[in-house]
Amino acid sequence: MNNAEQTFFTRLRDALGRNSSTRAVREPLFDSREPGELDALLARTNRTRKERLDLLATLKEFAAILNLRIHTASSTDGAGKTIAEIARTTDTEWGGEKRITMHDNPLLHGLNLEGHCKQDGIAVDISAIDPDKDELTEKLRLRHQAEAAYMGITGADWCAADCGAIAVMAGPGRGRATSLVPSVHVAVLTLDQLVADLPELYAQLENRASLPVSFNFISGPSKTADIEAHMVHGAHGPREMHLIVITE
Amino acid sequence: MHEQSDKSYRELANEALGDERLHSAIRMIQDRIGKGTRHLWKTEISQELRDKAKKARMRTLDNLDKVLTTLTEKIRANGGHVYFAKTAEDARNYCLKVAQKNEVKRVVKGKSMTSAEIGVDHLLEAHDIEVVETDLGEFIIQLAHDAPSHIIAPCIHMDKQQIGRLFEKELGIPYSEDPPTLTKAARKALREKLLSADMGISGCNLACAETGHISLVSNEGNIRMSTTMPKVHVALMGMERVIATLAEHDMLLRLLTRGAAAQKISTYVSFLGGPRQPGEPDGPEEFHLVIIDNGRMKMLADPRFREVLSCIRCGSCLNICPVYGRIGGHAYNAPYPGPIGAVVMPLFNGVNKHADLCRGESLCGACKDICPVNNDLPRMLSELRHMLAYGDEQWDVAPVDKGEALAFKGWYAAMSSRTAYNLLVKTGRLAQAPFVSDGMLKKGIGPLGKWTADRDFPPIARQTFGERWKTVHAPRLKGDSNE
Repeated sequence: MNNAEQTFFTRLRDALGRNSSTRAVREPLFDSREPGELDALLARTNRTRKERLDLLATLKEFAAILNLRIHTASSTDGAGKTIAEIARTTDTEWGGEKRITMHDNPLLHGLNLEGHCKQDGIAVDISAIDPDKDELTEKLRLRHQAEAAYMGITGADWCAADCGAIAVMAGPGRGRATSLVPSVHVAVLTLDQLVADLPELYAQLENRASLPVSFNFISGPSKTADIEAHMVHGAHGPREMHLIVITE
Repeated sequence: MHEQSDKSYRELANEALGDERLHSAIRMIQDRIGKGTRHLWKTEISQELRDKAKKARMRTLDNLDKVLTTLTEKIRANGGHVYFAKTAEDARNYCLKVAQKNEVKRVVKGKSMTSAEIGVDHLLEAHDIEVVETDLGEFIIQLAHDAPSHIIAPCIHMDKQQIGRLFEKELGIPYSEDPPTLTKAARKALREKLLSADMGISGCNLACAETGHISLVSNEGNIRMSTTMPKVHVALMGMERVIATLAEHDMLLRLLTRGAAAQKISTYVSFLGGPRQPGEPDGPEEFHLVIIDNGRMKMLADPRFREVLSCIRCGSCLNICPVYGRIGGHAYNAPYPGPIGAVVMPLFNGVNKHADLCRGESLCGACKDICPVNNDLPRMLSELRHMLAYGDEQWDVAPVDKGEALAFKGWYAAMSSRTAYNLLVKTGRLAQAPFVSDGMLKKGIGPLGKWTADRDFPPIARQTFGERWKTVHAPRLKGDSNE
């Protein structure tokens, strides 16, 4: 702690009246839940298939407002076909060949996307660093890969049905740019990753042993209403977002 | 703290009062968002939740030393840098130092009011560093060399024709007044800047101490771009913008997006707690969090104003305020406009200097009713006015008008004595005679002149109620009882 920082904290404690007061503050500062509240929130996510399908219906309803397109697939391979169809019918925004960049994630590998896209000549690249190579050189390569891609594919850790928000954790093989730089973002998740709302989603975050340094909630395509409050999609992030829910 | 105009509050407000287009733009925002937020408070968000959120905010403020210590430790453990800035100058100098150390040529900014508060742009530009605002509204403002007029809709005072002509001139595109076409042109221009910048500067909506993250909300994605693509990310944070736990974050995020835009959630909510970690494909190599005092310490220490630090800067008070609705953001001439600005600007920058701001608000209470964390802005505005009337040592406030204070003292004395009051009424009645026409005072003198410039003032009646009682009513009552 340097001098400026020490002075800052001394002034802070003065402002709080701590230095003069003998009263010890013993508040459970970092425990803001009522007893049992977290467990109750976690227990809420033990749902039957029927209840999960109801959540999916809620999600579909709200997603329409967000311009977030929901697709369902009965199998992982079926999801791959759906994505290949989206890729085939979508044009590139900035020109160039059609390339897809994809997170390194077991669920996504099961899509067999490369196979489904081959006939259309669309290449699928994985956004993971080769551990045998220099990390910063690899980072640069993957950055070009993200910039060249017209579509980015990610998994989702959870999705809150009532507001259409997915949570995407960053990490090795899970580039942040994949859901941001390409013109179209496709996220894939399974039915059991649906939760009802943000409180349930936060409970899942809290329940994790640790959180990554970066994660995002994403609900729909990028949008702006800065010009005469006229809603336009595709301000800086993806202009289109698809969410594929695998119901198997 | 930078100001945008040399004109006075009165001049700017008068200009805005005659601007019909501005009124209709603000009306649209207030009707849609302000009323939308108010509706959400009545339907899906309970008063109980807002009370709970306020309690959490105040508890954090009461323990700010501990909460900030935890946040700092976590971020440092992840390899991030944390710097504590006492003044705006300290904060902007730190940004410059980081930029120079990394040989930064271009900085992209995610919309941040704190960056306007510390005035970092001018310093960087003076050192030949290009600074680009990336929020569409802020970008338009920057191109037009104008100033933002609303917290979340910075260019609502401009119409699409103005923006079309601006883009034609500055971006070299054919004239268009179609919002999607204009947005696409800006998307293209800004994408080049965002992908080639060396450093990103963002604010911080809410930091979460327990997990060691700052969090940022945006709909456009510019904030994610600015904090993901450049090799350095500097986040600016007022020292109060922290909460203790994830559970509190949940609560406050829900209030923030509803208060700001009547939205259930913004398109993006980013949590960031350090630089890129080993093995990660992307993210900044350096992460700096600048925690800024710049006068907040004094607000924290004063029980009258500690509450104002619980503000989550959603801007809902702007979306409901009748005064803001008429005079717009420019009249406030400050980084923080509207009712919240009318309270914090005097505290940041001198109560005497910003006397007009806290005296211009109507104290109608709409801002208090809509505030997601129940901030009692009208109470604090009254405190500020009290300081202006009687002076305040702690905040170094000089009484604005000694004559006024004296007049009220005199009035107090007269009101407390029957004889003095009667005398005052009698002399007043004689003295007003030359100024009365058609039964009204139309041309007042002294301070009354400001009132009668726009409105008539009723003169002192020929007979006061007390006098009438004696001559008319009392004898009649007496007569009644005799019957």
